[in-house]
Amino acid sequence: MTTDAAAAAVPPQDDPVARLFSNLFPSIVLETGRNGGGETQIRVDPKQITLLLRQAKERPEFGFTFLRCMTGVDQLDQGIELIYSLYSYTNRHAVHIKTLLPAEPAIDSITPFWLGADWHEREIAEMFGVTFTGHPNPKHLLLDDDMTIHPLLKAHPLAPIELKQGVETF
Amino acid sequence: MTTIDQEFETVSIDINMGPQHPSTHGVFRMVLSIDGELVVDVEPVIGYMHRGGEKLSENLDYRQGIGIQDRTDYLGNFNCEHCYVMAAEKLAGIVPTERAEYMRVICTEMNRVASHLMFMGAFGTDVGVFGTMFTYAFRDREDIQRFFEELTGERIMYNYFRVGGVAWEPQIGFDAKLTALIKRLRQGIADIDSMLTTNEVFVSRCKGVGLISAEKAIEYGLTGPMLRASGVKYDLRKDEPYSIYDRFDFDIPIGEHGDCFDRYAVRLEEMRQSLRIVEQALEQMPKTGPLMPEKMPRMLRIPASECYMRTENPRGEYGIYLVSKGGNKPYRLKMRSPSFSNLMALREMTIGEYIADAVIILGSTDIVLCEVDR
Repeated sequence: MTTDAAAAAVPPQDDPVARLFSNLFPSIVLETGRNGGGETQIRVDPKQITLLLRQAKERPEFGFTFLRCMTGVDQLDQGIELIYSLYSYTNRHAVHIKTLLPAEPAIDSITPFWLGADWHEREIAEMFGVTFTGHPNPKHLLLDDDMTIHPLLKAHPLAPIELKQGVETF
Repeated sequence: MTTIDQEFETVSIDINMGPQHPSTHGVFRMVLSIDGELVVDVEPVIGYMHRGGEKLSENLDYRQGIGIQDRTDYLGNFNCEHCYVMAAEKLAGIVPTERAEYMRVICTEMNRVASHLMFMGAFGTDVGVFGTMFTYAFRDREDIQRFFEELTGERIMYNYFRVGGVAWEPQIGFDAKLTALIKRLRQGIADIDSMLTTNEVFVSRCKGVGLISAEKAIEYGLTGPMLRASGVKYDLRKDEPYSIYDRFDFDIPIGEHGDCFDRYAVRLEEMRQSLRIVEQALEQMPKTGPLMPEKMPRMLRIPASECYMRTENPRGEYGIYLVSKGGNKPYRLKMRSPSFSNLMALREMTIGEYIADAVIILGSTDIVLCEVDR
């Protein structure tokens, strides 16, 4: 199962960062490779994401203390893909951890042990309709409180809502 | 001295600051819970400037998308453009021309100086050196702005970088004008230094205020001068060199305590280092040569792929996560803005401080709300 047609699949033994993950979590890491920028990316099982990220943050051999970016991608029929981009100041390596959430997207929140994920998760929640279970403050961040739309979904049209009101329901 | 041993019943009250408050640096609201003079809790409320830049970028082609980048961070426009065009170049496999690389470095570094000058003016006003600081900083910033206007035709929204290079030739007398500008700016920076760094009022209001430790700074994902002020020596231009930054000799200033004064001092020194880079770039830049690669397609199409590109913006790490599924538009474009993460740590820095210092702490994070909300 892969959603990136052009991502080069690299076996974990050829990549030191991917090897770290696949050695410690053989059952969670589904696939390892490199993205178009030549950086390590791994695809993991969404159910175990908190376990994996907590270890990645706390174990010194990983040392991924910096959550530099977190984003979602609408992969249409396959569901919502989440991408956690991590960096280690101590070991100077980077990784992109991807996970695919099928219909009714929900995933455990990492905010309880990673404060820097707070606003990122709230943004993804409102933009893609992902539920982050266990988030301490699951309010809207950028959108108005009573909005129920998820603008970054591909199904959401690029048009003023006023024009569409009464025509379609979001 | 007598002490009052009577216990007072105090209640914390909520104060709404913003969104139309002059010192919130844009449309930003914070709900401060205060107990007497002390801040016990603060909740930042953002989203007033959300324009859906990411959604718009998905519907614009790679040439049009550069305009969105200008509107992301209106003080570091060139830096944002740089990140965007580099992401597109990386996936399209286009190598920018040598001369364009130097032009980009000169533009981005001068933009950093302009942005930090804006910070000096605004921060001086926040702290209480009203007027004086602002006029001095803006005198110099105006010079840079005028120089950029000659180069690009625009004061703020430059739209000068292109995928593969830059749009057009620099103005006549570019080298001489830039050299004279650097000389004026050095004097301007020295003026600011002599006015603020040893200013009794300024120092006593900034030292030890808004502390954040290195561990906490990393935990929140702070980047740029905010992170370096806490003592973490990390700068993308040095640690993950992009473009041609490995050809220049410059230092990374860091702070010790992670307070407001360190953030100011780091930015002040960064301006000097940026001018050093510009001088070296001007010296090394080929005097003639193409600014765009010879064979550029009329309509840029990028094969299905994805990458994360980052640049060191005035405010920190600006990242673009670009997902392409083929075609002339990005499938998904995520802008990782430094102000967004820097603002997240506001709560950590403000709790336990005086309400009068809340404005200084917010000022020292140097946020651009356009970039927070995108």
